[in-house]
Amino acid sequence: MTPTPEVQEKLRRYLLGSLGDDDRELVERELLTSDELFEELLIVEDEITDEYLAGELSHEDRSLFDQYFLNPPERQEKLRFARALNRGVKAADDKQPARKSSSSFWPNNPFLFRAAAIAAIVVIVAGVLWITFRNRSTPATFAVLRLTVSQGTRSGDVTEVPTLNLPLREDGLRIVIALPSQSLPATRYRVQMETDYGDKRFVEPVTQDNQSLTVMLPSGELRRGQYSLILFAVMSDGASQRISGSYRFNLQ
Amino acid sequence: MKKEWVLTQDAFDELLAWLDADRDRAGSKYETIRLRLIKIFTCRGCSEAEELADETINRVVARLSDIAVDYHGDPALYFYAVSQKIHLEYLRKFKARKAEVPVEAAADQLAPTIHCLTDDIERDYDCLERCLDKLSANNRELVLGYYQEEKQAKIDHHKRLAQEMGIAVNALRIRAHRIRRTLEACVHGCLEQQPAH
Repeated sequence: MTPTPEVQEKLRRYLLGSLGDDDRELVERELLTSDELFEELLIVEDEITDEYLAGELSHEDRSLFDQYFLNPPERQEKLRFARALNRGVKAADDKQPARKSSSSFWPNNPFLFRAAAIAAIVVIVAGVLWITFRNRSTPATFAVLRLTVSQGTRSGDVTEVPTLNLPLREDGLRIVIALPSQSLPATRYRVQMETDYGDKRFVEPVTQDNQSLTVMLPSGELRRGQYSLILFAVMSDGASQRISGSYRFNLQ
Repeated sequence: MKKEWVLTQDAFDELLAWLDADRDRAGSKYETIRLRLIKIFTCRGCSEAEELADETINRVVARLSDIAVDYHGDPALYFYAVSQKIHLEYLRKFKARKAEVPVEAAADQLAPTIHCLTDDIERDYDCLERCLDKLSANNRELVLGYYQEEKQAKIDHHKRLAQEMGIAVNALRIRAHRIRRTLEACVHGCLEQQPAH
């Protein structure tokens, strides 16, 4: 099994747990006997982790990553390492001097110079706008919080509420919400976020499947307090129905 | 997973002899099989991958006297067949264990995961910096250069780097990954030596 793009894709599906049983067995048998394929698997595993951190995975793959790929402790270690490496790469990039020499770049003709300057300004403005909107939708790094439903009231429930410390070092907080096992046959879900400092708003899920959904909160929007997420199942006729219980966490 | 059979030196020697007549090559094959079994169990989402791999090896060794003479083919595939059985047993036990854990307790168990993902970032980074210093200048430059950029820019960047080095993009990819693996092992070693805060 030479690592062609098709084999690489098969390995991705295998690592994300979405390969059929027959293909999975073929891959595993080959992994035990082929050095080349085994090394390819390790590379693809790292690439998936990097893509996750960069927010480059599709919604479906991100969901598989959260639900399946990240389960073994070894993978969580990999994610930690990848995050540190990411930071190291960015730090090294910041230290680097400008890569291109200015004398050869700027044209001698004043008209061309002016045109180039205008074009550069347009590119910079577009770049700033792009980065701004990109950062809003997909933070580059994030902490992960997995929540299951709590049925009790805030004061009476004895279940320990997960707590994170602010400020986060990451750009955002990814919250993976496990759906109740007997959830309603919804076409989609809406998530209402309530805080003890009076904020109450809907947060759009970034991924969703039969078992979980994920919401993302940028670090800049997080304040200390008690948070409660309430799910609403939206049915095929557009009607929405609250799912009992809530998903709680604290930021301190 | 509970081990019912303990690997003795004699049994281990017998295993090595089955894997290869040359003891050094046999040792290397054993390590390879063990490492890959661990990875396969990890890829199946098992949290006790190492224990399951060792249990697979123990089961093979326990039956070695019956199979060694008549077995034809790559021994690694026999290990694979046994690992399938071990995995099924694991799944059965896992399901039984899951059914016994009340919802509240399951929620409590989530807390350490959160701790693991959000804490110790500075410690990780300190170790990374130390380990980067241990790399040769060329390897450090390559690994830091390779992982720059994202999406399409990353693809173009890799093509440019490979061109500058006069090698194929996939050869560069493999080279960068091997350095990354060395770095990752160094960072793990460094973290193990430091007490957690």
